[in-house]
Amino acid sequence: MRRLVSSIGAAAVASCLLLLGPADLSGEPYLSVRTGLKCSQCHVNKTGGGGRTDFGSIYAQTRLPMVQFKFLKRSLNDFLSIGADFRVLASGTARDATAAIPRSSVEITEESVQLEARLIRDFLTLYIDQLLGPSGASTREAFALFGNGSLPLEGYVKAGKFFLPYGLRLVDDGEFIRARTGFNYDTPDIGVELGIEPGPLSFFVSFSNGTQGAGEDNSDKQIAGSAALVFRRFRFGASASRNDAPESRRDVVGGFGGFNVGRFTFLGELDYIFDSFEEREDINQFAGFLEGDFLLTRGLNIKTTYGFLDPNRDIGENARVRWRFGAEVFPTQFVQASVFYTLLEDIPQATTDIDRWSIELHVYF
Amino acid sequence: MSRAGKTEPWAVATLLSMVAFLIACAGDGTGLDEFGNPLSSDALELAPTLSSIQQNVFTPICTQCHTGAAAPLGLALDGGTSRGDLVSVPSVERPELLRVNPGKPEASYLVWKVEGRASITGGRMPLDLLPLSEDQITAIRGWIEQGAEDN
Repeated sequence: MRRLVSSIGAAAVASCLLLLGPADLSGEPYLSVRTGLKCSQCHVNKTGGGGRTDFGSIYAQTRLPMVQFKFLKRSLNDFLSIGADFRVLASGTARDATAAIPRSSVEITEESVQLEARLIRDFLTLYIDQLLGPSGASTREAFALFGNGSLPLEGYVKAGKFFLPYGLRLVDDGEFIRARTGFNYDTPDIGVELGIEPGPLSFFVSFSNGTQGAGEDNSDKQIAGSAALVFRRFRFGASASRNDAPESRRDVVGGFGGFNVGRFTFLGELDYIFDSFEEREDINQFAGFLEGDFLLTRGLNIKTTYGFLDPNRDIGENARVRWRFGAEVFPTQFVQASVFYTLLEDIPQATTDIDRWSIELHVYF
Repeated sequence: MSRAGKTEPWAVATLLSMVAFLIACAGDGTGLDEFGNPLSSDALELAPTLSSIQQNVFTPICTQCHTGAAAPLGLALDGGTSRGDLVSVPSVERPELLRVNPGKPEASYLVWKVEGRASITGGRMPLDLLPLSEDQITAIRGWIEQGAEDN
């Protein structure tokens, strides 16, 4: 009964979000909701995340930070632009059900560079997002972008390796809606994506291997898509995916939305995940996410997030909850610092019931 | 921020009240084991065999992500498929290494990943969870050392 009430409650909250306003899919979705801009306004990848466009770079340098120094162009010339992201994270356990002694660490979590070559202006762009570290190099995204908005209905065609279009592109891959759906920064896939963005509409659909970057030799593929209506103060949308594999299939459907009220920004997402197997019982999961942001002053954002996960709808009393409380500050251009406390609520006997604190420095260009 | 309008306190208060009232809590875990699965009477002791590792490690921990058609990097650790995706299969992150090299735990990328060695690509597994215990890693190493059989 409690689980039913919980699910209805979470569904009702999401429904309210969808009715009242919006959500989105970019590197920092709350910024997209706050500004009323589409992801493609600030990111080369039109579904969000990764390297920034010239507009995105200008916005990040002139509108985000508390203090602005000399503006730096990311374009080296008419056809070549560069970018980079570097993250250092200090984190530790604040409460650990299994360890008497708190643990902490300082680590580099991202070293990446992006290259954008506009080979034929407004028609053909080559984009590469290369991870250099922290442990070994790998290509996160690499694609050719045809059209770049110059095709009918502001359309484009993308081919290569890219993040699949689904839901809110949160930076926090640990959030249930990203970790459990499998659409996150760790799982780009290889394929083709088509998109149109006329007026307030953003519609993307991709066809890919469905192996999250691994090679494959069968005919089973993944199709994923996302549609959103983006307005100045709100947005809402839906996503869906089907991934066939030789002995199993995964279907994911979800809705997302967000809206802006003065200095407050809210966004949320709900996802149902259906895994079916040939030789064992199906597993259905449900994940939800809510985020509230408050712009205390220019360059200082207060954030609270709430995540809910029912990892198996056929098992009762196994739900997990994840809260995050913290602040993000943009002291100058190119610099973002954040402090967060992550509170996990698991079942009492779980060994994964850990609370963490974290301090992150993100330098980007 | 200049584009942001005036905050409507009543709207924010109403929404926050709704959220506070409706958000759900974690389950109480009644009748479940530490991984959230129903308590079972046919539990296997941790041992260097595939069936034991499957029941004690792969299924309860790894399949939180590595499951089904959308398993990250094409590695599904579900019962019945885990061995086929592991044994003698090249790693995606380090293609020069096999995920499990039968008889050679030191040359198996699975061991590198769960031990969190400096030379791995990506994060230590299980990602965002507690590292596997020493006993769990020892069982995996033992299974590989004994040939990574389907036992």
